[in-house]
Amino acid sequence: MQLVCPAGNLPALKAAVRQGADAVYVGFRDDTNARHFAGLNMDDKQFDAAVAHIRQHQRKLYVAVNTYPQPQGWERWQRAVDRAADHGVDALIAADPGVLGYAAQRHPQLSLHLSVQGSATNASALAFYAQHYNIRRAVLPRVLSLAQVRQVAANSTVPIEVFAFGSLCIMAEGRCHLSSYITGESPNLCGVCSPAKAVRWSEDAEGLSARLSEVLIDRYQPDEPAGYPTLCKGRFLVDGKRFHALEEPTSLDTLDLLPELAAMGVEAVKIEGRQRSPAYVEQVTQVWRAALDAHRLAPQRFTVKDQWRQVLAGLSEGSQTTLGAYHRSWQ
Amino acid sequence: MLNRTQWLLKGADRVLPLIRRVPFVIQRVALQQALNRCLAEPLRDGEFDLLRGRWLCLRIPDLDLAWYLTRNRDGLQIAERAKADVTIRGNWREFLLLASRQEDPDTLFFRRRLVIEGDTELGLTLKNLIDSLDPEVLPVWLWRNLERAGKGLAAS
Amino acid sequence: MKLSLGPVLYYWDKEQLGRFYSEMSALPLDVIYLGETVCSKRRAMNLDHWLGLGRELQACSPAQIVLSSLTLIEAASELSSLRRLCDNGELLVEANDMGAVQYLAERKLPFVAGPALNLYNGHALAKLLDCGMIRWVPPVECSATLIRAVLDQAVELNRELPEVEVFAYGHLPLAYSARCFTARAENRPKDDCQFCCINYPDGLALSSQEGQALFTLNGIQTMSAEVTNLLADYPGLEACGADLLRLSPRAQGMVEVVQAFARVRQGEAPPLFVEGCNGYWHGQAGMLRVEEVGLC
Repeated sequence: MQLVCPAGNLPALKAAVRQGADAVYVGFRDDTNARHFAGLNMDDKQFDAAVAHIRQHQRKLYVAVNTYPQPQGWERWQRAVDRAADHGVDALIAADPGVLGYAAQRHPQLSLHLSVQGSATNASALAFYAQHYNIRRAVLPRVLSLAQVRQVAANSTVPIEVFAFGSLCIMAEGRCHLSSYITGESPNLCGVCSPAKAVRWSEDAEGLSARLSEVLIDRYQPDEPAGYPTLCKGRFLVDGKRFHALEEPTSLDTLDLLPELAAMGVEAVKIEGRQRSPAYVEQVTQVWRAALDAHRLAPQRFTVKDQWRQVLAGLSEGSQTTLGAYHRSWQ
Repeated sequence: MLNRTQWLLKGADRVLPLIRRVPFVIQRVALQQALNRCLAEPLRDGEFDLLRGRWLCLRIPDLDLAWYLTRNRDGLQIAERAKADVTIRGNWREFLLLASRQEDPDTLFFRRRLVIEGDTELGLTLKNLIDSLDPEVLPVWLWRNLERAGKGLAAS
Repeated sequence: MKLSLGPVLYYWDKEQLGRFYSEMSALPLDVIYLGETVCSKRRAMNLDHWLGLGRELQACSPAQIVLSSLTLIEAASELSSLRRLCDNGELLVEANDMGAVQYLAERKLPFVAGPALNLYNGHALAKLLDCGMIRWVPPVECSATLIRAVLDQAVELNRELPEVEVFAYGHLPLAYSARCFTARAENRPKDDCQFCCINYPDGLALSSQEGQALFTLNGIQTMSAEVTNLLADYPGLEACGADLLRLSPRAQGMVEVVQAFARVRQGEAPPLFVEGCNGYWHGQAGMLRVEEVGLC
């Protein structure tokens, strides 16, 4: 299985390459991708250097142009596709039918991968994109159980890429408007969820309050770890009970499922985290490279080393990990 | 048996707070010159323009230090006091781990060992900016020592 | 503009559905959507039941009956159910997943594109038009300006426009998950949910720790706490090219809601103020209520 790692900047890309990633995925520094945070992603200079570095080390580079352009920004997405194609990247990761159509027609030699933002969870949806855009791979939303991933992989001609580690999105990616309901900005409209400009922290007698557009997302006592107020990860009141009604801060970690993922013919495992630091990318890539190599050398004897678990848990939201939807009990 | 780095770090706890005794003028001159030298390329590229007219405060409680940074025509400027738009607060070990890339900033934020106060977007933009700096633009001796110190700290 | 009754998003049993549609059949609705769009475990009604209900409604109401399909299709069994629904042979189908679009396009059947399909520009709209879309329900987070721009861009691409149906009343469907939040709130695993969402005919309220109403839990679907209501924005809806207004069913008061919209449609002046949010329509955060007099 191919190891696909994120890079929000050049040092992270170099870290991924150094630690053995097979492919690295990046975005441009604008809202054409779904991690549109200020200061993140590649500007022209960094992108040129990234392409050169990848070529030098003979790995693959994927560019995410995976948000949904609105009519008045359409040319910007076209230019992003052109820039990726002109630099000869190994694949464009996209979701919008318009963007996919433009890329397929204008740059037929450019491989197209269906982004998780395309929200394709079944073989028939994949067939749509395969038929109309000849997608070479699809990233599956994190809402499918392992059995369901197996079914999709078995019934689809499109090779599959699954998220293996990183922050969890509990809603079907690409079809979530929670953020725009509260803040006016959402992944589909603006490439962000729970935008930083809407965040406000304040310390008072009741604890550390985290707000999004003045809506109280969570409140922490001094001994509790505090997370970024992603709105689905707060503690809310339902029927008088205060708890993580939607999701608690946690990270996906599928190391235990590696043999099963390989057995079902998954083509690539994806590490989430373009918004994370080079240190994160360095450590996560190292662990997953070691795990994948260990599995390849001796599939029957594969076990997850404690040291791998510790490193990954240390980098996880809430300092805890989960198998997510892959395990039915999570649902 | 402690190695040299770990021995130095143990001593740092006693020595570093003494920085407070150094007159601010000297702190400022030394640090400002060093920053502008090390960050010359990103400064030229306009990476720190977001600090024009805005102040970042780096507050280090266990050394009782606070440095206020802004970007003016000549580069990065440090002041003894200013109205901070955003403050990043943490003990000296956290900043060393951060600077040496031995610890992931988000992990430090989750565990509240580093705290951002004020304009969160500005703080996160700065975090992304610092993350994007290639250590290879820093002087080799500085990066190597930072990295070694950070590794020693991470291992302890 | 025409009035449509959206599919019932909550889990109501057969008796409640029967009573509800009996009331609705007497109202001046132009389109009625049937079917289960949220959770395949809700088995009070199967495909044959829905088709039967559709025939009954066609006998006593001039409304066009449309069958809505499941939004989140994960299991192979859900895919076969979807295929059977698309092959029903009687009723127009609302596609809420690209898998449904694929089946319908393969069979060259016209369809309605539901609000859960990601269409935000004229090029994507053109693609769906080429696949057989005849009516478009824009994503609920789209503003008037955006909808207008999408239609204009499709015209520039030489496409004939579909009918446009705007979500004008009801709890806004915001997200879908593999996890069932109603079951979670009752501390049950989804596999043994005991169909507890049937106990919440208007969903389960979720608020912040300060008591601010935020969302409504409806099984795997998360909806807005606020009810959207665009009745006061009626002139703007007309000006933007909406052909139909979707009124999404709630357990209480739907007769009054439909009648209020019908009166304005007949020529009565729209109210200056209604309860409910309309932020999305005005290009802002969905939960807001924006006062604006005049056209979009």
